[in-house]
Amino acid sequence: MAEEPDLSNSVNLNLFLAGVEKRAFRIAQFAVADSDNALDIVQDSMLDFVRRYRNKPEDEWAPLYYRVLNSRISDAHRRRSVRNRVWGWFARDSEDDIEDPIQTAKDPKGEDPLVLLERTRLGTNLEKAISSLPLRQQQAFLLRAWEGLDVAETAFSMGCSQGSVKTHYFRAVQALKEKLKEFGND
Amino acid sequence: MTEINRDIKFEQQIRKELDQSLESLGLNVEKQLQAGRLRALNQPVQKWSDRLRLENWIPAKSFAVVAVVLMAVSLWYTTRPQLMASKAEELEVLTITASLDMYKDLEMLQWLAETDEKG
Repeated sequence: MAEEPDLSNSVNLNLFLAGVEKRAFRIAQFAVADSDNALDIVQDSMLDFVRRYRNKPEDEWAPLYYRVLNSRISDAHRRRSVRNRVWGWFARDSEDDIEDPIQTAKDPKGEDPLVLLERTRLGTNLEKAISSLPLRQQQAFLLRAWEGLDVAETAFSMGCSQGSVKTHYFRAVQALKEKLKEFGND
Repeated sequence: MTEINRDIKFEQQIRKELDQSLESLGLNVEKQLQAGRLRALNQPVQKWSDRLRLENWIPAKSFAVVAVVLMAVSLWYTTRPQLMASKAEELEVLTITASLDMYKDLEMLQWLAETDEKG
């Protein structure tokens, strides 16, 4: 037998999820680079979060929700890498796939990333830069810088140590600066 | 501007840009997110007693039964007597192409050989 959900709890949950769902969608979209897949991930994560943690204290909801979301994203990544490995047996590298070293070489001018950031108004370049980060760096950066979780909450959400979060975050910031500089010079 | 201040400003700008990107998600995405949220909120709450119900344990029980059957079959195959292992003489009898009449009186021939040896 299923019981009726508590109304006040449902109202608070609704407010919480309404507040995080768009950012969660963008985080999933950066990770899987596909809107439909990202929507599925967010919808599944909301179902799972409500089913398992609706009775937890409200101040624990954010790290718990992002833990569920990150777990779903990691599952999607794992599935994709297995699929790619299987298809890799059938696919062959074509000459078009080989990068031209001249095209990928950095501009020696080396402009300040902050100036470039202001000039290009980020937009597409920022999306490209965040999407190209390794998954763990991406998660650490978005949860800390955008979602505003502290180091301990981010570590809980990512299922790793606080030291790892600091390392991932530092590397993510450095990589973003480099990539934005690179994209800005294109 | 120090490196730390530069980093802080850099992150603030990224945050601002990411926040702005939420405004252009599109109506379709927003509707689907809302529908997913409502579906999550309206799902029935499971009680602890429901989780202990028999139906919930069917997959676990099925797995246990399959595991036991597999183990029993593998044990039976590894421990049963080797029925096919035959002696060399029996193999010789089976593969002989000559007349089998002699082998019908094998016992008598063995007795004859033994009495010859003794005599």
